[in-house]
Amino acid sequence: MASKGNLTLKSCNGKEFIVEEKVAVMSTTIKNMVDVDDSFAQGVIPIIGVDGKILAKLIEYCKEHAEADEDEEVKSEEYLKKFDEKFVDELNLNDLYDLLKASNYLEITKLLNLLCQKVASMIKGKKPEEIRRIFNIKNDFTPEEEEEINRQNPWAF
Amino acid sequence: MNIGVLSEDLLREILVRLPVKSLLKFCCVSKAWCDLINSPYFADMRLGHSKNHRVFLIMQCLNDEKKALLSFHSDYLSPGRGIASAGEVAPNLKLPSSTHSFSSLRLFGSCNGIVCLAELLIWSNYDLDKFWSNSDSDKIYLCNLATRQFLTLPPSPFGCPDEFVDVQISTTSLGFGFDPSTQDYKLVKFIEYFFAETSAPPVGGVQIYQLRTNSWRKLERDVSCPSAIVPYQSFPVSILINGFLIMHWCATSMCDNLWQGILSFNMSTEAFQKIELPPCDKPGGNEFNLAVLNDSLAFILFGSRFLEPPPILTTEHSIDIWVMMEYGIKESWVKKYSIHPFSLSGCAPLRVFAPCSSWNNDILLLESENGHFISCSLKDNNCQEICKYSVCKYRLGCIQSLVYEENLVSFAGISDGLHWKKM
Repeated sequence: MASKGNLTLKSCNGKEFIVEEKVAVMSTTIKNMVDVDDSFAQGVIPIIGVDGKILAKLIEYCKEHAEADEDEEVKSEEYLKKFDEKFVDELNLNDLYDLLKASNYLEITKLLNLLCQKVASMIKGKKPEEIRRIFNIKNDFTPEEEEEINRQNPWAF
Repeated sequence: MNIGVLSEDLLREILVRLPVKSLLKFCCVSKAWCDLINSPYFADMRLGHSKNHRVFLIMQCLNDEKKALLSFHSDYLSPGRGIASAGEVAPNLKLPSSTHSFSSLRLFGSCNGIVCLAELLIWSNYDLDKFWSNSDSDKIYLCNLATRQFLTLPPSPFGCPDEFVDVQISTTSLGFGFDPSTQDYKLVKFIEYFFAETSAPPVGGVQIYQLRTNSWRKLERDVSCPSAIVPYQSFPVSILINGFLIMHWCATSMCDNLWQGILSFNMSTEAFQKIELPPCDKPGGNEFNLAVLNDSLAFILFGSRFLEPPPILTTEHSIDIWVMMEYGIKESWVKKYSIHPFSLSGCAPLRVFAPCSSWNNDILLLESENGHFISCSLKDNNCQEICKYSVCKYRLGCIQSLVYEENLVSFAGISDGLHWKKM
């Protein structure tokens, strides 16, 4: 789609960001809003539930990827891979969590995949009790039930 | 650390990227996690991700014991690391017990995380009593090594055709795969009938097993695959062509001027096809094997392993790899690589016993005569030892390897009522 210009995105705590349309429409949710209702393209698009800090991060990611889609020479696959790695490595857990939810809500598929992969590699070697702590989960098994599950697949532990 | 509560959708997106081992472990996190991981929807979703869950599996036979299976993970969560650093996922699996004292369990390929293992009645059993008995004593297993479930196939009900008198039966090869057109798993089995009293050439038969019906049926051979064609024991390589899963075996014909070539079988249409070999020196003192490189059929030609004593390979000797650039077009065979895997630092010159499989399109996995398992980069001819096995002196070829996509699948919906056992 040809770039029609810039869009204004507004975070839930009132911060406004002016971004190129090609960057903003990396989000399928925003793309659908702009496609359906032209007034969004003129005015301000509220990004519900996403604060300024996280929105800035999202824009940083989308900017790199939108530019890479446009010009593969300048931003090669190799470059993007490095960028992605650095991007997720620098996130603390809170930001990772907020970004996950935001990229899910805004349907930024590439970023969502990247973040899910990051969480998966963080947790793959952890013990069940560590998982419960990380995800705030209450163990609702009785000790007998838990033992039964462990007994079914003893090699996994 | 604490990541907070995630929606079920998001959680699923994360868990689908985990190895099966982690998923089984996380079943006891909570009832909600357990239900999510065990749901058919999740297993299906994970199947879609399975390209990212490729596991490299090595099977080794041990001398007087039951065989051991070793498998190695590709480190898919941080791609780019060498195969040598990949971790074991399922070391020393105990397989269904062998019926032979000199075990002959072999791999016959894999599909959607299910590995086909079988003990066939073939010459290599060195067990003539068994060899001359009925082919129904083939033992064929489908195993999900990640969940450690296995299924023993029912014996084929078909005996020897009535018109054949005094024959012996042998199963020559198997192929296992998924037929997308019927959404069912199929196994194809090649049988050969030998006439003991006459010098008539052996006659071949083909039987198909389908998982959904858990039963066998016969397949008529036609001109595309005359009964004199015999596929080799090595497991077939499968390639997806125009949405069809096609299996390929190296094969030879007892008639037709002892034709040597590749036999293909379409798992959906059940049609055979003969494919001609590349224009290389025909195997006199050479052996060959099939592989898949960049989704194309590859033909690997390497020095003979059966000369006694085996020739010491030098840098002049190479393994040649031909790739069929346009599927089915004989003229499109191109000799793409010539590798010299004989200079592993710190080791005596290696004699390659057999190429085993390819990995990530640019690595060839090899078994050396003295029990080394080696990865060899096709790009820069760089060889690395992956591991060293205590190979039984008289049983070369006891290492097999294949690359498969680890999965949770338990064939829900297809195999209801079938009895899967735990290893």
